[in-house]
Amino acid sequence: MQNEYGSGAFGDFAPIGADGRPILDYPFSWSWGPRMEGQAYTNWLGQPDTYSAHGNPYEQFYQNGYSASNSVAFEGQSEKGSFRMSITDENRRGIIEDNTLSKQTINIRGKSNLTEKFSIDGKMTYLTSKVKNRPGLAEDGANTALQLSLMPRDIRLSDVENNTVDANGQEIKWNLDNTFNNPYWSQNNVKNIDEKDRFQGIVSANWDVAHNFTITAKSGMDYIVYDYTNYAARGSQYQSNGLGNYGHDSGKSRVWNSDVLATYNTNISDVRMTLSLGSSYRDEYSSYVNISGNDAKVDNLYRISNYKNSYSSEGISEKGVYSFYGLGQFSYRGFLYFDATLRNDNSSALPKENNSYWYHSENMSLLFSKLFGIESNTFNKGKLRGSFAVVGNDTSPYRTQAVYNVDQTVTLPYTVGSIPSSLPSFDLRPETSESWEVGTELGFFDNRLQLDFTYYETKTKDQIMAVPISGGSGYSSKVVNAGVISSKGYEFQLNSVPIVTDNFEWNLGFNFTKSNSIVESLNEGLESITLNSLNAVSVEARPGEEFGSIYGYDFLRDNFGRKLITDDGVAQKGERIKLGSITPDWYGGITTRLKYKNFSVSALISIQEGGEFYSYGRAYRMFFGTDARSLEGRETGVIVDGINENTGFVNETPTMAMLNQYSNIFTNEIATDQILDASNVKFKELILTYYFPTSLVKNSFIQSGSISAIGRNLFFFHNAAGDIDPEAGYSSDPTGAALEHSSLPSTRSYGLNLKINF
Amino acid sequence: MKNIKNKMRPILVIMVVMALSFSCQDHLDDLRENPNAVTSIDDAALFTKAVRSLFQGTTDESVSRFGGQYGHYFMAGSTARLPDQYGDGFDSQYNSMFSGMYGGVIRHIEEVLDITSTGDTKNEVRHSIAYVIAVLGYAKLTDAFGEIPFTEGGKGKTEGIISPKYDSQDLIYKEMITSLSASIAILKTADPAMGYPNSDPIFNNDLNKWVRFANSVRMRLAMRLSVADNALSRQVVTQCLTEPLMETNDHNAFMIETEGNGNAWFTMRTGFPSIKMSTLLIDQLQSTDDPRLSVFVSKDGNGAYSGMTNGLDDTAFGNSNFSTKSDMGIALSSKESKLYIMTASEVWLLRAEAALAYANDPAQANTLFRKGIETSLNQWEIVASEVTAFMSSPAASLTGSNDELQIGTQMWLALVPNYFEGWSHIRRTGYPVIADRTAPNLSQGVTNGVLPTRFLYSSFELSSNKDNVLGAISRQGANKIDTPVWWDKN
Repeated sequence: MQNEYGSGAFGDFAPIGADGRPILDYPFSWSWGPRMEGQAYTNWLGQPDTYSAHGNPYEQFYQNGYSASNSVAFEGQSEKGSFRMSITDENRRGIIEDNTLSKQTINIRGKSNLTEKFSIDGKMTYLTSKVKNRPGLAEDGANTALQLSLMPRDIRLSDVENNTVDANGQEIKWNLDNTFNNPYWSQNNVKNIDEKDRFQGIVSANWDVAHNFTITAKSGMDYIVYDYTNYAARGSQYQSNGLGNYGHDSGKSRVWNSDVLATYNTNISDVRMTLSLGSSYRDEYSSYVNISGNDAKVDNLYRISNYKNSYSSEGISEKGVYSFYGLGQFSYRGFLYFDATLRNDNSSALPKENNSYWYHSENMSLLFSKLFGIESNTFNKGKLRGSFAVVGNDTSPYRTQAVYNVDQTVTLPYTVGSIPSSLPSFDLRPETSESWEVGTELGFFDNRLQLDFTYYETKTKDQIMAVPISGGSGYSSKVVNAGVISSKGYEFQLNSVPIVTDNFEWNLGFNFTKSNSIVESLNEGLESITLNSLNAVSVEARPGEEFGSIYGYDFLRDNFGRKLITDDGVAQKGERIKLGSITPDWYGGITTRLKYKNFSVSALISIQEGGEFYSYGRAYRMFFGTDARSLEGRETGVIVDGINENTGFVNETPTMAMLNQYSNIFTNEIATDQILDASNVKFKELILTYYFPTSLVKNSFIQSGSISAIGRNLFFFHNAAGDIDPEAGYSSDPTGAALEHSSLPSTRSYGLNLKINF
Repeated sequence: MKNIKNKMRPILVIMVVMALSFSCQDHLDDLRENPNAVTSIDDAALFTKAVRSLFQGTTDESVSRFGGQYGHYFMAGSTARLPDQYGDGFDSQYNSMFSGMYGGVIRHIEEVLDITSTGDTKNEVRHSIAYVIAVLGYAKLTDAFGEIPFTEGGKGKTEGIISPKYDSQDLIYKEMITSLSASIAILKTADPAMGYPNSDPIFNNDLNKWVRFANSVRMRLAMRLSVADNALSRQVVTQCLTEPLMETNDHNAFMIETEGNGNAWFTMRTGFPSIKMSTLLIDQLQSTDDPRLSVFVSKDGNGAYSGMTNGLDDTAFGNSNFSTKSDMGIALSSKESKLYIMTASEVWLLRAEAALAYANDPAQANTLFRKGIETSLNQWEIVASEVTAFMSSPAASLTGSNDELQIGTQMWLALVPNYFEGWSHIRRTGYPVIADRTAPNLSQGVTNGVLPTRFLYSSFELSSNKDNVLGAISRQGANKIDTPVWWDKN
């Protein structure tokens, strides 16, 4: 954030409107006004004021969050069975006012040996949670981080807080753009509540038919009921044109999994083997009812009857999968191990002809240090392992059938039907993924130095996805077996204990991962699959390229890569090219732990080298002029690096800094300057722990205990992207991390953890 | 006995396993059916969807942000005004307009055309009616973008084409005219029972009106070729004049939106982005004492009519007191205001232009011109005395000195509130004259101040359908907003 220039444009204040307030329409609601020198001016409310900066609005707006979690557990055991129960209560408060989470969990587990050969086991978890006021994100007008990051630098946050609604009940803002809210207005008037109850239960019966033959039957359920309501009060243009709105979604989902497994153990000379045969059925069911409305009749009532327009929708989804499988485990003299599995699934989500698919896997490991008898104190463990696996997968239900929806209408005398925007696939095949890996584990000096290395290759074929397609087809996406993606990489891990004495121990570990995915081919003649997009930037899969290439408009350049500049000194929009990739060159981490008597300190540092992301948030702050980088050339103009398109000489014509940003970012949508390097070194975690000495607790009912101070996400040792956290993605999937848009500030957290075992 | 039992055992096991797996398969078949939708439907329900989408398209972003401002009818507030500055940084809007037009009208009407052309559901009357709607959908697309997927367009489901090839606008116009001629021939003698009784949002299945409408659309398309293919234009116009055309306001193709918040101009006038009528429109209506002024334009807070000058740059806009200017008229922008696709007044004025250009008959042109104006005034329910007064004013008769300008200007007014058509009309005829922007307080955008002539192909289209769209660009010219479409030779 810069603190030198306030609201206005072209170095001037906004014109004053008939109501005595400045007319803060674009571009005058940006921070491209005169230099702030404490001069007298009319502020955004139309009051005389002095023109100066007022600090960091983030610090003033956001509060410290906290979280507290308490749990107790009881346990009992006898020959006849065992019983355990635990209860956890968790409460959190976010950095935004009224953003809270409350969650309670109860766990019960019991086991009973009915006879010597027959036992039953039951487990139940009940979880209830209530989250209030999840914050709005990205382009959402109620995203407070976006509003604050773009607020002209001369505006006092307290003025914004004290002026949210006018006499007519309309929202007051510093900006006429109706796609933004006053952050305090949205904090006070845009609300949501998310309630969820979850029940997980599983019962199993175990029958020892003979001493080496058992049959186990299990049946388990995961049942979730949710209820989500959200509303916005009347009075803000962004929220349903000032009419206010309300939504209430409720639904349930149930996953029921039952299986039977017969297991046989035997030894044939030096070979121990376990053979199993089994079968299972999995049923996934969910349903929802959503209602929404707009145009509130009276204020402060958030129930559907209070809305002049109301809409509703409902749906049911169900899928079934039958599986049959066999497993075999063999070991020879404790140094050679071999496991194999074979499995067949039959899913209702795939078309009848293709609904059956197979899995298999083979794993072998050899403890060669034992085989060759070379184990010693210096070299105590040597293991080689290799595996091969084929995994099949289905998809979500109802993607193989063409259907028509019947539209909800209230006033029309005729029926309106519609066709879903996503095309089904009638000949969908199951996904398959083939992979193999080899690795080694080595231990030295009684495992004080351990090395683990793995190399792997994976080939995923026929991945099922709804691929966005040309609008010219009439549809927005089609479900397809997308193509072939191959990945390879290696992982390396080193753990060591350089020093250990009676009272002192030092642990040090490193890990390193390098992975690379290539799109080998795409089916159905697709030239590209857009995985995610924001503004004119997209993350794509194109044949022959890395999975997750970032595409966007570049500057117009000559054959030597120099920008071509107009006579006015302005850069121009060029081709749409690959500007980066989401894949880092490598990433890794360092962990260390020092323990002295009852004290320990542990730390975790993460490192990422390479990979890029696009920051639309940065782009916004640049052309709104709030970013410190936008200060360049404010008084003198900016001379853009490049050559004049007409003369061929180096450009010497200055252009106004504001127009330069506006033209590149907003008008021409050139993304090159907002593609940021994601390389960083982050201090992820620091934990200080004190273990209560046994002498202290010996005579009490406490068995052991500890107290820890924890700090997470502490700081960056190095961050190539400067003020933006590369992990603050736009959406949660891997491709979303490549797109950032005015995310909430990343939080550093500190905590205390007291653990007592009775 | 024991022996038999032993032999039977494996057979029994196999039978049980087989029975189990068959019943599994049946169960999976049951689950495969989507319980939330139907697998077949009367095409009437999809026809109503396509028709409604066509009308809704007269108030969407292609009009409120682009067509209406390019047509110099009004100026929108907030970010919606940016296209008025002749910029082109609207990638996400170009994409949503392109996919929106295909996903609304085209997706559903292509399905109707498919259903009504084969099997038990074959019905040439419905097919012919549906084709008129398809033509209107494709005409707007090609007028906006130039080359578009047409022969392969909207056939993702019916023919499995997901990367459709682009066609030249020349071919698209010729095909549309040929197919409309076929529709007209069928509908003239068709049995209404075979049409869309109770499912026709426009004419309530009055096939006589459908014939007039189809022929009038053909007339509009023919006149659009007046410069690009004059010979074909003349030939088709001659043909149109031998068939019934829309003549009275009873023949108008309009719809009233009763669902949700009604006519979208209502929300845009009362809320976001706020629409203020243009200086050009207000000056035109005021200078001729046109009684449509009070219909098209609301008075401002001071009881006067004050317009916005299109194209103001940011500084000038900041100083313009936008919020105090005249809104769109209530008759155009109340919840119940009619949405129009085509009116009789437009057809009279097309005929006036044709009489002048093709029949070289100024007297006939004047009669038709006056008919067009009168029909428009009556469409807006102007009181009889004001109609008489205006019809006797100089503006309501051709003077013989600047007839094209007069016809073109009246056409621009008659097209209200079909603003997108107004922009197309200006591109073809050059009337009313939209001067190149040279004044220092006007933004020249990326076109050097010249009126934009098309929308851009979006970056998503350039990624997802690359070869086909690059082919279109190589034939048509650079993907810029000032590259003219084929019929735009003016």
